[in-house]
Amino acid sequence: MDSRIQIVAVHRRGRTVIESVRGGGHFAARQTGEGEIHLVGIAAGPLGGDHAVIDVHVRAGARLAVRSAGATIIQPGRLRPDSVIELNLRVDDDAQLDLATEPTVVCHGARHENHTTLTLSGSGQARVVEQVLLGRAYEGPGEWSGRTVLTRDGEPLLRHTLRSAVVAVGGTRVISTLVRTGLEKPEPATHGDAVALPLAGGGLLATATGADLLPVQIDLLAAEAISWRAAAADVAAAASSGSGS
Amino acid sequence: MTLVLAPGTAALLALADQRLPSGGHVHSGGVEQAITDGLITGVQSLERFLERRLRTTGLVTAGLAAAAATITTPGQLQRLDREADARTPSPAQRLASRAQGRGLLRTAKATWAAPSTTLSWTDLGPRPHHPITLGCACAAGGVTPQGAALAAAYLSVSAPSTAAQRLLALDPVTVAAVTVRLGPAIEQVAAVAAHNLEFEHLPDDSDPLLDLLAERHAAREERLFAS
Repeated sequence: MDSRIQIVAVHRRGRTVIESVRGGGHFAARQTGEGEIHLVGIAAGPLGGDHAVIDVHVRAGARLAVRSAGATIIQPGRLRPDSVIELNLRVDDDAQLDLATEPTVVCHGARHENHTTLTLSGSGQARVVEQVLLGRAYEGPGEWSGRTVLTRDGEPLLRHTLRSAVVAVGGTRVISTLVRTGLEKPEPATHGDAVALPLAGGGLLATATGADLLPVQIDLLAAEAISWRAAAADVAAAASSGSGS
Repeated sequence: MTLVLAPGTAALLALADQRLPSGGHVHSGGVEQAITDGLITGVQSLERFLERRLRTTGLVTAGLAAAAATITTPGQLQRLDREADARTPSPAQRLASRAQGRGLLRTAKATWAAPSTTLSWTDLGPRPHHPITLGCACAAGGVTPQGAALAAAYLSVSAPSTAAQRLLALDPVTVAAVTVRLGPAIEQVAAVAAHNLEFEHLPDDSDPLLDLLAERHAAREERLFAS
C-alpha cells in the first residue's frame, strides 16, 4: 500500500494553527495541543511492499511539535520484505519544528528504509529525533537503513546514511539519531556510546547505538546536552572574563 | 610484446603508495582509539574493523575522489568541498581529512603543473579535503575517476592497517595479507562509489562507531597518532 499524509502548520495572529491535514492510510494526525500533533498508526505496518510518505510543512513563524502515539511496527509482507517511510520536513524562515516520535521497530524478516529530508529556509530551525529498534523481544533483528539529508537554503549541511548491516554487530539493536539546528556553537561531546558532532555548515548530529532503548536514549540526550552546555559554559566564561577586565 | 595497461596506472600506484609524503602515516583512522577501547586486539578484529571502515569512510572518500577527478571549474570544487563536509559530521575527522589533503597537495604541486587545463592548484585552497585532493592529483596524472576511487578505497584501509601493525606489534606479513585479502572488497567499493558522480548522489554511508572513536581520540591528552 502506498500512503501519503500532508500536514501544514501556519502562524496566524500570534498562534500556530494546523492549517490542513490531508491524506492518510498508514498514519493519521491528531491535534493534541496548540502547535502540537500526534501521529497515530491507523493501519498495520507499514508492511513489506508499503511506501508511506509523511510531509510536514511548518510555514514562516509557526512552531510545531510532532509526536507519535506509539511505536511503529514494521513487519515483512507476505510477498515482499521491503518497506519505506519517507519523512519530508520543510521548515520555513523563522519557523520551528520539534519532531520526536516513538521508536520504529523493524521485525525479523523485514527490510525497511527510512528517508528523512529536512529542508530549512532562512532562519528556520528544527530538532528531529529518530530511534530504531531491530527486532522485537526474543526474535532476530530486521534489516534497516536510514538516510538523513539536511539542507538550508539549498546548501547541504548533512548527508548521512546508516545501515544495520554495518552498524548492528556485536549485540547492537538500537540506533538513534538526533539532528538539531539553532544551537550557538555546539561542541563535540561523547557520553557512553553516544557522540554529538557539530556540523561544518551549522547544526548538530548526535548518534547513539546499543543493545537497549532506554540506555541509548539516555546517552543520546546526554551527549546533546553536554554539547550545548559546554558551549554555553564557554560563552559564560568569556563573558565573565570580559567583564572582569 | 606490448604491455596493455590503462594510461596513468603508474601514477595511480604512486598515489596509493603509503610512502608518498602526504602525512598519512601520522593518522590511524580510528585504530589507535579502537585499540585503547579494546575493540581491536589482534588480526581478526583488525580485519573486521578495516572492512567496516572500507564500507563507510572508504566508500564515501572513493566517491568524492572519483567526482573530484571529473571537476573542470573552481565553482565545482567549492561545491564538492561542501558535499565532503556534509558527509563528514565528525569535526575530528574533518580536521584529519584536511590535514592530509594539505600534505598531499604539496606533493601534487611539486609533481604536476595543474590538476587540469582549466584548474590551478590554488583553486583547491590551503586545506582541501584529502579525497578531493587525491581526485585532482589523479586527474593530473591521467588516472581515471574509477582509478581515483580505487586509490581512495585502498588508502582507507592500508594506512589504518599499518597503524595497527605498529601499535600492536603485529606480524607485518599477516597484516599485509589482511590488506591484500580485502582487495576484492576494495574493488567492489570503488566500483559502487564511481557509479554515479552527480555530487548530491555520491555515497554518504557513515559509521557512528568511527565518529565516536574520532571524537574520543581528539579529546585525549596522550596519543601517538594525530587521528
